[in-house]
Amino acid sequence: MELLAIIFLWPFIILAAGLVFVVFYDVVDSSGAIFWWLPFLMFFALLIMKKSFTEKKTKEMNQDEQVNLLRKMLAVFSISLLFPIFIRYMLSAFNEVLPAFIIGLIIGFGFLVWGIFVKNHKTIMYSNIIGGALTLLYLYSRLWDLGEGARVAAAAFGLVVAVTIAFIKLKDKLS
Amino acid sequence: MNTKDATLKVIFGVMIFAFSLALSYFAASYFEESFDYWGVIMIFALVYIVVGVAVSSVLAISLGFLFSADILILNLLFENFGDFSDATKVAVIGIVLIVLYAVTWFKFGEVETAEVVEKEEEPAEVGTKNTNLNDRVEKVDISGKKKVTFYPIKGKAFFSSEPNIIRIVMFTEQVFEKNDFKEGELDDYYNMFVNSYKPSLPKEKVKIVLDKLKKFADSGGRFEVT
Repeated sequence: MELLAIIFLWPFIILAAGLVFVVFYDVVDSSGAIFWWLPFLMFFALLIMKKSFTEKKTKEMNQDEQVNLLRKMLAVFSISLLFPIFIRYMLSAFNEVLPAFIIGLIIGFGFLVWGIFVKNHKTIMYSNIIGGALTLLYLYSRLWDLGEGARVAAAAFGLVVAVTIAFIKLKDKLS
Repeated sequence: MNTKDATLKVIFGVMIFAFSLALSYFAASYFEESFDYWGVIMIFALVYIVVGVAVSSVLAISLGFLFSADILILNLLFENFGDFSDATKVAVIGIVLIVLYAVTWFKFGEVETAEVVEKEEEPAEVGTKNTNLNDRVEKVDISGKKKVTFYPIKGKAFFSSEPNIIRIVMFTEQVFEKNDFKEGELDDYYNMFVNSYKPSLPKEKVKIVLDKLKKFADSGGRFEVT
């Protein structure tokens, strides 16, 4: 089982990274979205922030460490971009009704909070924070079309979550 | 594995990858009048995955087939993803996300033992016989050293910033005059250490640390103090 997991790891991660470009192409093709450049920007951003994954310089790493770092970065890239697209398709599947937006917001905030508080899993932390933030940006931009009531409710929900997280994270510093 | 073997593996892997891709595309074109083109590509992708799993003991062949299946599936999705219903798209991306999270959680987690070992509670009774060993370990100078990272041959790397562990590791390095160990090389030393060393840590924390060190001793590997 362990052997199979090792063998499948690279093909699966490459498949997932490739799927990011496939779905972005689909989104751009179907809705003329202006964010076609996001995967490329994200990839370069990850290359720049690779220091966050490890204290070592690339030259100081052995081959295994470099390969592992690349796999982690590809996983962050795939999860953080597939996540908002998943929410986008979910909204479409439910004909963009308000309950679907609410579910999307809950999932988005849920993953963001998970990313903020998870320990010993930097890959999941970055994936969830970036993916959750992109999802929330997308959802809030779409909420604009649903009228003032929805905007007020979403802003209030966001505020409650932000205050709660800030209180938990900064508890020591605030007191 | 020497460089020649590695090169041979890469060459054969690439050959299998190229020929399997060629076979699937040529066959799909050849049967296009009788069968759906993308249907044939999908069947080839599934067959390659099954073959890749079946020959998993030979890594080069397995990866050749699996990467080939990757290309076929991505090509298939690229050409047809827009035609799928939104529910199907949600299902496809959802499944990929679930597997990605599972892979990330189980394979890419960093194990940090340092944070859980610093509360002052009753010391554990792991070993009390040889206080001399304790003295020797206590005298190891760890000034300027912040953490030790273990790179086991099998399994994930992990690190600890607990001073006692850094001392033990530096002591081990002094005893053996090296930091790289073969599988099982540290077994006897580990047993001796566990029976002789009295750690000044809480019991449950000691268990976590010792489990990690035992795994490292069993699998072999190297450590680095930085």
